[in-house]
Amino acid sequence: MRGAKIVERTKVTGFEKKGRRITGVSWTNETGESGRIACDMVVNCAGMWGHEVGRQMGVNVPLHACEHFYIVTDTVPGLTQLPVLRVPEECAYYKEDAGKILLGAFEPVAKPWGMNGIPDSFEFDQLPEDFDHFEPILERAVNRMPLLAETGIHTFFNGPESFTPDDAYHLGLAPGMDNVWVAAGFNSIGIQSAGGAGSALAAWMDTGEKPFDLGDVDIARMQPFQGNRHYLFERSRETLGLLYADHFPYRQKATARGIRRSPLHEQLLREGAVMGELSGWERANWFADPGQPAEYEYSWTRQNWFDNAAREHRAIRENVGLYDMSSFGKIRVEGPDAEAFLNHVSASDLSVPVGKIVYSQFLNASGGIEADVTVTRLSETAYLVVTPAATRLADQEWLRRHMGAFRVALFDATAAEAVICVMGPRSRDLLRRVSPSDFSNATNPFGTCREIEIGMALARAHRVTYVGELGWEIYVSAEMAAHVFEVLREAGREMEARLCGLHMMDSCRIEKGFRHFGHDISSEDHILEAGLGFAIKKTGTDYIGRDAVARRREEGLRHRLVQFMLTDPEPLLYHAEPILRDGGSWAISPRAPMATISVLPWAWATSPARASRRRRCSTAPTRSKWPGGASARKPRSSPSMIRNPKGSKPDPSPSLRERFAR
Amino acid sequence: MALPPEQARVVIVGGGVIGCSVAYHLTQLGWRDVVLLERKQLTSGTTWHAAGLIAQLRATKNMTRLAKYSQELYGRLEAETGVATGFRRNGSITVALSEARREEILRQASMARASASRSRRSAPPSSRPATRMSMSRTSRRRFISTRTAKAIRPTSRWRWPRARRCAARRSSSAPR
Repeated sequence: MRGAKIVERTKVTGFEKKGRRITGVSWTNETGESGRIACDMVVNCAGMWGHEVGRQMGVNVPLHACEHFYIVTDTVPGLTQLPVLRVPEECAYYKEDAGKILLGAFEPVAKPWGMNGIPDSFEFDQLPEDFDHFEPILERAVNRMPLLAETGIHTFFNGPESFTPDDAYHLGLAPGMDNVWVAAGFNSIGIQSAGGAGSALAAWMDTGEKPFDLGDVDIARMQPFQGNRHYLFERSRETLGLLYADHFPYRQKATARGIRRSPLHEQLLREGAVMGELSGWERANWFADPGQPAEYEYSWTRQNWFDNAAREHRAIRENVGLYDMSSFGKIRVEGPDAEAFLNHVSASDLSVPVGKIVYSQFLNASGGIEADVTVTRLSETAYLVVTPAATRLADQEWLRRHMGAFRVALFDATAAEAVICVMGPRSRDLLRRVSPSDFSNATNPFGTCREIEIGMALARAHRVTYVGELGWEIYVSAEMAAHVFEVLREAGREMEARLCGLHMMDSCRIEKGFRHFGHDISSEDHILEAGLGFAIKKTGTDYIGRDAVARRREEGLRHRLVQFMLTDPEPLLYHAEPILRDGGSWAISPRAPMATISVLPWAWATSPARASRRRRCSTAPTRSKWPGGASARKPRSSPSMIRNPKGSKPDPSPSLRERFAR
Repeated sequence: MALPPEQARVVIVGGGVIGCSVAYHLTQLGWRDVVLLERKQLTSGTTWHAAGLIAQLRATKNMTRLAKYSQELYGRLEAETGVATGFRRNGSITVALSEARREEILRQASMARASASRSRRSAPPSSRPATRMSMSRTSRRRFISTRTAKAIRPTSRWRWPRARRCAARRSSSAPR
C-alpha cells in the first residue's frame, strides 16, 4: 500500500557489496523460488537476527537475545481495567489483561539465548519454561498481590528479545557503509519505541541528516569490539535486569569489563584507582585513599568518592595533578590534501603552522555540531584529530563520508599513544624536573605541541587543557607510557602531585565552562548558539555548514547555552535535569551533566520570542558554596577561548585557588 | 506466493514492529518502491509476544519525545486504518520500596512535568494528558493486549497469529 510492498515467507540470503554500498539483496522463499533485488539502500530491522544479518553485510550490530519471562493468570472474577503497576525493586510489572493478570519480570541475572545463532525455523515460537528462574519473582509477586496465590496460571511464557550492550537501541547509518541503515536491538521496549524510532529513521534517510540529536541510540556509538559474541553474551546477562535496577548516577556495569585497558592500567590500580567504563575503556574515575575501599558506593546524594574528587580538583587548581587520558580517540589524517580536506570538514582554520593545536567543530549542513575535537598539525601533510573515546568511530566515519576526491588517508591511531595529562599551576615545574626540554611560554605557548625528551623516552607535549589550568597532555608511544608515568610519579612525590580521575576532570571543565560533546552540545545545536562561534574560521574558504552559520548570524540566535549556579549547594544535578522558570511558564530544556563539585549545571535556554535573545544568560550571577569556602561566580555564556591558557591569556573567571584563599 | 520486485529504492530486512514502522514512515514521506522482506510472517520473532506497555518517559528529552510520538501514532492508527488495535490508555503506577528508588521516581516526575509544560507551550491539545503526569502516577500507554496480540501490519487488514494462540494453549496445560 502507498508504495510499500511487504513480502512474507521470503528470506534474505545475501548481499551484493560494492565498496561501501550494498547494491543488491538476494532472497529465497518457501516455495523454492529465489531472486535478487537491486536497491539504493538497505535497512536492517532484523531484531534478534540483526547481528547476524549485519555480519552478512559487514556491519556491526551488537545485540544478543535473552529469555524474557511472564505469566498470565486464569480469569480473575470481577477484575476491571487497571493501570499498569511497576515494582522495580521486585523486578516485576503487572498488567490487567482482558480480565487476567499478566506478571512480567526483569530479573537481575538474565538468561542469554541463541548463542549459536537463532534457529531458522523460529516463528511464533516460545522457549522452554524455567520455573526455578521465575520463582523468586513469583514469590514476591504473590506477596505483593495476594490474589495471585488463589488464581491459576494460565500461561507461563518465555520468549526471546534482543538486548544491546548499553540498553539503548541501535538506529542510523551503519559505520563502514554508506547506504546501510539499522533499527534493531530494542531491549524489551520495541513497541514503545518503534513508532518514534521509525519516524526518526525515515526522516534521517529522507534528508541524509539526523532530524534531531539521536546520540543516545545512534549506532555509531558502538565500538567495533562490541560485536564480539562472547562479550555480548556476558553483557546481556546484565542489561535485561538493568531496565528495573536502580539507575544511580555513575553506576558502572558489572559484566564484560576490563576489555580496553590503558598501558597505565595496572599502575593506576595499584595507586587506588576506581575504574569506570566507557566504550569498553577502563578509566580511572577517582582514586581511593589508602585504607579506603576502592569501590563505588552508589546513592543519589554525595557518593563516597565526593571528597576524593574534591581533593583531586583542588590539586589541579592549586598544585599539580596527573591523570590518564589514553582513551582519547586519535584519528590520523594524512596525505597531500590533508589541509584542504580538514578545512572543508572543519569550521576552523587549519591552515596553521606545524605544531599548532586548533580547537574545532565539524558541522552539519544546518550548522549543528557533529564533532567537537582538537586538531594538531604534525607536519605539512599530517594531522592528528583528538576526540572523546566514545565518538572516535562516529567522527572517523564523518570524515570518511566527506572525503570525496580529497587525496587523504584516515586511520585510527588510538592505541598507538597513551596520553598522560599533567595539569595545574605547578605543572611546568614538574615537567622541568623530568625533562630538559623548553616548556616556556615563548617556545611552547598555549595551543602548540613539541617533541620532548622525558625520562629516558621521547614524547610529544601538547599545551592544551580541558580543566582550565596551565598544563600539558603528554602523548607518548604506548610502549614507553609506563616508563614516563613512573618518572612523573616519582618526581611528583616531592611536589605532592596528586593522581586524579575523570570525575575531577568533569567538575573542573564544567567550572570553566568547557562544553562536553554528547552532554552539553550535540548535532542539533547550532555552533553559534552553543557559544562556540569563536572557533569558526575568519577566512572565506568554504566548509560544511558555512551557509547555516552565515544565516544564523544574520537572523540572530534563537537559543543560548547558559550555565547556572545554584545558590544552595546541596541538591545535585546529574543529567538532563529540567529547570523551570516561574513555575514552568518558560521551560528550559535540560542538558545538564552534573558538576560533581561545583554544582554548575548547563542548560539550553529557549524563549518563545526572538526579542529575548538579548536576554543572554537569564541567570543573574548567583552564589555557590564550595566545600572549602564560599564565593560568587559570574557564569559565562561563551568563554572567550575554550581550553583557556593559563599564563598566556588571562582567565576571566576567578579560579578555585582564589576561593580557597578566602 | 507473491514475489519481490527486481528493483527497489530501499529493502527493509525484517517485518517486526520496527520494520513495519520504517516502511510506514518512509511512505508517509512520499517514498515509493519500498520493499519489506520477512522470512516467515510479520511479527513472528519478538513483536508478537511483547507485553506492549507504552511508557512515555525516557531518560532524555529526545527519547521521551520519540516515545510520546509512538503512543500518539498508535492512538490514531485505528481511525486511520479502520482496524481495531486494542490500544488502551490505562496509565500506570510505579512503586518505590526504598528511599533511593523514591528519589529516582521523583526525578523522573520532574522530567515529566517539564515535558508536559513543553507540550503545553508548543504541542496541540492531543498531547494534553501528558500534563497530568505526576510523580507517583505517570501517564503511560499500552498497546497490543498480549492476550489478543495482533500482527502489526500497515496493510488494510490485521491478522491473528495462529501459532501464537496454539502456543498459549500448549503451555496452559500444566504450570507447576
